Amino acid sequence: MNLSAPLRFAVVGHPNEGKSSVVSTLAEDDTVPVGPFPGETRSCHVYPVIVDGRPIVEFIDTPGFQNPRHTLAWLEECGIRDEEAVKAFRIAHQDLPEYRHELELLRPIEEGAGIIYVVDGSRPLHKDDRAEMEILRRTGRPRLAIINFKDQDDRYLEEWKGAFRRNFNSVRVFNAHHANYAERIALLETLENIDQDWQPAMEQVISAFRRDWRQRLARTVDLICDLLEKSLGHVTLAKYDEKEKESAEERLKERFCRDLGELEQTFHQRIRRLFKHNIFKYQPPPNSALRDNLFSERVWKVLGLDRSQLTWAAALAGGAAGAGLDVAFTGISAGVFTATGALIGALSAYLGGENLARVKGMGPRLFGLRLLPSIGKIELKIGPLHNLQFFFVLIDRVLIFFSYVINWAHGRREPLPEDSPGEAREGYTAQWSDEQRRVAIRYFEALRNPDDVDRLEKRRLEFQAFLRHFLAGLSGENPE
Amino acid sequence: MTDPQPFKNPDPSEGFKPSARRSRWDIGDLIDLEYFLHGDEKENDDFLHRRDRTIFLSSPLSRQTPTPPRRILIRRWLEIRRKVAGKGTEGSPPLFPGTVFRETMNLAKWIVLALGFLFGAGLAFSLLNYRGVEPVNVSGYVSLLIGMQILFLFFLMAGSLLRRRFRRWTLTASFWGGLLHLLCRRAARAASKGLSVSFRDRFNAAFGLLKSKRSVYGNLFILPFFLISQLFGLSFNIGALIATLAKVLTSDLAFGWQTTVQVGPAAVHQLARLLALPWSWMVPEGTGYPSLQQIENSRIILKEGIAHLATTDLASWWPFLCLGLLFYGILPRFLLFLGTWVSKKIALARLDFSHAACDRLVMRMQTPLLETSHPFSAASPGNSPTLNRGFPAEEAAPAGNAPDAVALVDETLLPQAPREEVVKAGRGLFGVEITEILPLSGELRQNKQVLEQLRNWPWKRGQAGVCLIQEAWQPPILESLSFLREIRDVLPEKGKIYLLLVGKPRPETVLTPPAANDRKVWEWQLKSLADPYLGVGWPNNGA
Repeated sequence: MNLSAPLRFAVVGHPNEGKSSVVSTLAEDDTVPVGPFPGETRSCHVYPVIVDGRPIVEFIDTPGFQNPRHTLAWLEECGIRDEEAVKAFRIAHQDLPEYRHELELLRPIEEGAGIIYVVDGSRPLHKDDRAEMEILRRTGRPRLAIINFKDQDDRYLEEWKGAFRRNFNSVRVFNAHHANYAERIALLETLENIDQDWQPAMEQVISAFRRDWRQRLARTVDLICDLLEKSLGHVTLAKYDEKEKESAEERLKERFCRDLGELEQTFHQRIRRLFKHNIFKYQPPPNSALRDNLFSERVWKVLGLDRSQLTWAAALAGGAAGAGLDVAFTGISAGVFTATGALIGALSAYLGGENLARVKGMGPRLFGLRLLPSIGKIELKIGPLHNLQFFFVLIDRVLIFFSYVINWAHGRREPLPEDSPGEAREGYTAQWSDEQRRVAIRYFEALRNPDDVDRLEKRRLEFQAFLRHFLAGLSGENPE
Repeated sequence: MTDPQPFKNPDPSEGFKPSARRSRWDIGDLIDLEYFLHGDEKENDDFLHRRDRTIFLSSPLSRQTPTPPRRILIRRWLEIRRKVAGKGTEGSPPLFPGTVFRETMNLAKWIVLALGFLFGAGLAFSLLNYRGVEPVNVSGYVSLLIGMQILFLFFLMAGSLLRRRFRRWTLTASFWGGLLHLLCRRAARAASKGLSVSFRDRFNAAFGLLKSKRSVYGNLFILPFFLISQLFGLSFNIGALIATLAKVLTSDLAFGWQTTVQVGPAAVHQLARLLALPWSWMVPEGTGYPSLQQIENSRIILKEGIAHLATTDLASWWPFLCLGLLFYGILPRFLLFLGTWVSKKIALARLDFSHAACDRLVMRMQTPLLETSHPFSAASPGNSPTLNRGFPAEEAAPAGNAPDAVALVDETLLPQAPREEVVKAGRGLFGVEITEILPLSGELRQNKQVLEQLRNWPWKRGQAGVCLIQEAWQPPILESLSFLREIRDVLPEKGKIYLLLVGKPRPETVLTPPAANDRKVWEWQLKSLADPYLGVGWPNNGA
């Protein structure tokens, strides 16, 4: 085998069966044109997997069959041996525009590409499909059948499998709209095992995908810690006249919420970019806790730890870490949120008036010492918000977002329907074991005293190691 | 986030010297490393991965198995980063912070050597000022040039012991370090109150950076300053020693001691013997330090003058002073300098570059670049002629007088498409009376036979009509559309084609409503046929 030439796979099938979606998901490229109208792919488009600048594998998105029965009839009647018949078909039909798609899709196969045949398993098997399978069989190339599901109907799955077993080296169910990292790897591994000649290239690609994924997880962990440290340490300051104290407080709270919201948005953008979602405009399902503001009532009810978990956690973390929790819970039960509005409900409840620092009197200072007496201004300060529940709520929100991003296949284009359910689960942190939670709490504790750099570094490393392991588990990757 | 400039990789072989130097680090390199890593924090991940992986692959290190240790990898990375950054500027090469540090320390080294020598010599000369009236008082010389240094050494050792005892007390190991730490903390707290938000953030970021680097590199960054201070001490003592020897050799000096307090020669002798302990084993009493007799005879009592004192006794002090300088000034400074220099080398050699930023860097270098291309943008459906949806009510014949039509049904659908349902659908959707159902096997030959049958069909009053049941979930491929054209070709002029789109079959019937999207796809494709006598309909409720 010529190692310098990339291994090629022609992704073929009936129009509108999801070939482009499969390529898009396999290559993690959400710019592959995918549309509801059949025949959008009119010529072959090569999507190489380039490892260190060298194309190792090429997935070729091909147009769909437009004349399967006529093509098969010609091949049956031409009286030429199977492998040669494809070439003869090309020569005989090269001037016929109605066969343009067939010529285009058979070209890479004639040049030696492996075949990935994609069908929509949610519809019944048709005579056209049998004709296509027979055409592909006659090419003599190694071939894998992928059963894609354009909707959830799996009544015809066994019928499809039965048909494929007779004509294909391997069959794999692969939902291009929902396939995650683990399923992508599994599909690549299937390809690796179809033909011995494909193994070196496929091994290289799989290994590159795996290492790339691990790097992304490590980077995600860095970004999560960055967000946690920035959010928990965030301080908002404002100077106002003594007379407008009430409105100043409200404005400051809103600004504080907005600042934290922006930090979260920046994190989302970076995660999307890291996982190569260029055009994916993710809108969480209506019931998702991500649709609500960070300080909304529902978020604080659903995410983070429950009261008993939090009590234990606070005890572990030391008394001060739990301060404000009661206020927050009281706020929830007493309807503070309804009174103050969802946006800053939890924040108001948490602050409860006492954590909102007021530094009366302004004037020049040197190393914190005021040099001149007050001149009628008041300085307000919110933050840093070293609150244990806030810490766990934040972690839950980033984990939920991460989980959506990694499970949003690149081949998927349409947004979630408005009636789709949100994440059924509670936050992830509530399901962590005591030991896992302890690691997080130790990190939280270290964050409360950022001056102790050595301790913070140690706790951060410990938390990052755990989180990497956890994220790997979420994405179906072997953490080792 | 800045828009990264494309990274131009330098010539792979350029600048790479396969020697031990590639793993050697100095503090300037570390400063440059942190400088580049800090700058990278603003860049996007893709750019960084591409750049660092390219650096790695362009280096011969990438072909070594097993992969060389981090210090070599990162060192090579740093060399290329410096080289590439240097190429981007015109005129004089850019000054990296590491170079500034290195050059500053070099300059400082020569300055402290010169200043130390001058101060030491100057002090010694001034202490040995002798005009022949009264002897040089050794107590001043001993306390300033020897006693002070013993005190400094004591503080240094105490500081070192305390640091070992309280490991976290790193910066506070020295007085100045402690003061600096205190001021920084105070200033940081002040900044969080009185300064603008952006300035405060920058301040905190800078302070945080300093702190975090301390946890990575320990006191490595303090060592060069310590070395410089030892160099000053060393040159100071050498200056003082040379000045003392020069003075002794070139002039007739008389040394004596005096005191107001009641301290006898015996005590002074005891003190001199104690101080001379480090060298008394090789230079005996009387030479290495004055004997009791010599001390007694070199005592200055102002009212008595010095005329009665013996010259040999007055000169007996100078070897003691020189040896004192050597053993309390030069040797400890030299040993401290040497020790610090060695420990700096060891600390540099032991650096494992395992902190998070280096982890990320090495991961970027060692993780293959995965790319896919973006060949083209989606084509949008063009404008096509309009399409009849069903037929206008006025065109449909009144009930009882409905035109006849022949239905074409795929034979696989026939078992679930009872005649009465097809007839009902024809009436309800198109207002036609289906008189015959012809099965389609899908075979091309049989299709032709059916078409031939239609060509010769005995249409009543020339009102030809064919109703084709089409599974809408099958996309409209050319083959299906050309079959419609073939039907058109065999029908008489103005003969009607009724396309009945159905959805996925249910166990009881195939006449199910098609999915909205499938329907749209068919409607859109049928427009391309531009057939005014082609109508489309579909069951709405499975009827």
